[in-house]
Amino acid sequence: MTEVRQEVLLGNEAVARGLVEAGCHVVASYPGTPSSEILPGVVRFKKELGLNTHVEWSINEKVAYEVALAASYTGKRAAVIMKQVGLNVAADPLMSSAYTGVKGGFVVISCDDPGPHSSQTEQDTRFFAMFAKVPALDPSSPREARDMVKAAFELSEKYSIPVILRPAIRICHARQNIDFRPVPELERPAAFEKDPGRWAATPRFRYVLHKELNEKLKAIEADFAQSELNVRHEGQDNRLGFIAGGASYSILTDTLREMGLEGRFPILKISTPHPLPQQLVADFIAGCERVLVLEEPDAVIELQIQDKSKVLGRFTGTVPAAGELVPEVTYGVLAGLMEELGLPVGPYLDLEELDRLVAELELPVRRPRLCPGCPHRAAFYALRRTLGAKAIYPSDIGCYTLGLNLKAVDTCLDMGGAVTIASGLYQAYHQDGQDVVVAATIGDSTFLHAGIPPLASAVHNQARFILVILDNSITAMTGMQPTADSGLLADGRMGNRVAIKDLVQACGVKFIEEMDPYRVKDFQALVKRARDYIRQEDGGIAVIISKRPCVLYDPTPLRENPVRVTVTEECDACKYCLTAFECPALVLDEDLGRVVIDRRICADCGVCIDVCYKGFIVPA
Amino acid sequence: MNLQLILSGVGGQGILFSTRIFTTLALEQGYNVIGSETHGMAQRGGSVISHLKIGDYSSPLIRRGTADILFSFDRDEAYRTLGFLKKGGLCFVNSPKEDFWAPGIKGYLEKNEIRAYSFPADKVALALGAPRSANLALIGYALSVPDVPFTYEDVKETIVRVSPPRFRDVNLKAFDTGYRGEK
Repeated sequence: MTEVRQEVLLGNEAVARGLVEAGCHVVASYPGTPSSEILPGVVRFKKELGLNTHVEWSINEKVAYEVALAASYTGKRAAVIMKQVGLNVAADPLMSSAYTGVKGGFVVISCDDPGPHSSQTEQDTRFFAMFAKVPALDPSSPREARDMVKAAFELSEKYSIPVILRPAIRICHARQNIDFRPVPELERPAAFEKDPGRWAATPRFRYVLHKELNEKLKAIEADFAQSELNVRHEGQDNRLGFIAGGASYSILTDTLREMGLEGRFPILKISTPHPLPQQLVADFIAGCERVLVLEEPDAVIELQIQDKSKVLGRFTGTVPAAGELVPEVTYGVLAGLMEELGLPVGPYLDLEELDRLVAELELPVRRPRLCPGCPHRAAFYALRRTLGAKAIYPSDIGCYTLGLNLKAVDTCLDMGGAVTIASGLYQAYHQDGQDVVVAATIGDSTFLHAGIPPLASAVHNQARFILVILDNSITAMTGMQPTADSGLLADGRMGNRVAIKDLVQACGVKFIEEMDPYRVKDFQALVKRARDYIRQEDGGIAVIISKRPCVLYDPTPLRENPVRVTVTEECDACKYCLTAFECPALVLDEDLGRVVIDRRICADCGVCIDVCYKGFIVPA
Repeated sequence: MNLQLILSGVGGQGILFSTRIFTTLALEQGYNVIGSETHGMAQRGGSVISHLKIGDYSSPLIRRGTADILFSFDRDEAYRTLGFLKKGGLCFVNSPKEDFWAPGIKGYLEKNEIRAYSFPADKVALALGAPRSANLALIGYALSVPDVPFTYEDVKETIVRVSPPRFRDVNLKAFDTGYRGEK
């Protein structure tokens, strides 16, 4: 027997492995938790195996979608990867390409975040599949996710249709041992065949394409009814049956086993939530007295079931309508149903007692905070210190949303929203003749992603606000992906730089200043000048580029020029630095009655020297 | 073997690395492994928890009240994740004080036959000049307790294999010091 090479892979790396094992030629993505590790996984296998795969971090999800789609037009296999809210940004091409169809296999990988753990919504990608009328596959483990990539390409090519693969966070960030399969060399020279009735279809042709799409969906549903992706497990007790998919299926399996109920009840595992194989589901339900549907984050399978008279789920209130179906929640739902059936619910610890005891300890809440030495903290401090509580601070999506803690973030809507909300706030107050300072913050990657049209629009419409672009040279929150401003490419090679400063200038902004936020006093003076500019007669939008690399990404500047600080014994524990600056390395020592520096985590940025206006924080 | 492990603490304590040691070892011994990690926003200084299931499991998450072993690299996080342990579970906490549990919690541990051990792993690692290897000191200490289904030799060998070269020696030193229970 030949030894099978296996490795423990992150679910996202398993998807990446699936992409190379399917011979995918072009992969484009924009990072976002929980999807960010897929493209780097592809880069890893590309390098290890010397593949010719084109990989790119595109500037946003719409761009990524269209770049990959065009590769499919030429007959190549292509994939686009994003988080679930990224699909909102790429919704336009998704809807349209469902009609036009594709040529080479085209897979849309959109990772859901039930919880949510790191997103602004718990939206369900499978609804987008319904909305756009494209098929969706839903893996229940990393291993399955790897296998489904190939199935998705085959389905896409069979019906010339985009196929959505929807791994949820518990698949993306699970780790599992995976055996490696061979990587084929799929010869697909680019060959775009002109077909204006499809690729450039006008509304009259779109009607025809829509009818075609409906036919495809019907045929796909019939395929799904026979597909090995959907599995029916028989059980001898038909008083209850289960329909489950994705992580919910795996959690159901483990929970039933722990309860000693493995194999007792019939289970229909649905890995093809859209289009739902109606006959398969109806036949299953017919054999059960009642059926519980377990899926997340929303009720996509349940909604499609036509006769719901026996169905328990979110619509009956049996399953909670928000939040993740973690094992505890699943157990709670199952335990209730087992009690109704007169079955034992297995060994049970009284965790309520423990929870009460732990709550009584009043442990300090460990809220997420910006890292020690984070340049964003310095910029937020300077902004807030200069403009005060009356100014309004729209912000955006990234690490810097944590500027909330420093009271320098008032809104966080979506990617690029900082600039548009600032613009709208200005117009609303200006209309009333009110002078309110609006100071928006946005990260470098987010600005490039969705901040440019809002800025051009704001300039055009004579808005006035301060925009601080927090440029730390990297997409930090999602794990250090390079930005267009750095010029670095996804595989580490150097591409062309797209300078943020030039873009701002091209949008028509006249006040553009770049500064290192560690120079807190100078930065405060700059904020003052920016405020004067937005108020002066010939003023407009003032853009400050706060430039300093992320300390996690590039610690060298601090290593080369450390500013060691210490707190003098005069410190009167006023806690100003703790609340206004909130650096994790500044800690109140209750015994000493003063603030001390936690040497283990201090980044030696020295910024807190300027924060303690009483002069108790000094160079060591 | 069917074994469920929880590792908890805060960002920067080497929780993912510790998980990797057990994952690599279990895989080498021919078991299936599945587990789950914290990423993204939750990693910025927040609580970090890692679930690891070795053997015949489908889902990457461990249900509260069912874990066999809990490693906690932080005392507060130990309180927060204690509920994962099953009746009769084993618990190892990094704590400067040996007897730190609040009285009510002690009652819970006794009632549920949970064997709780603590070890000043931070102090030990700091004394070795390797504050970032505290996780390995705690793991070393845990292996000196019978009933932990991994051997000293196997774990040691895995540490050698998975440690980045420049941390290999300090990791082993912390691991050994913990195993010998030297505080």
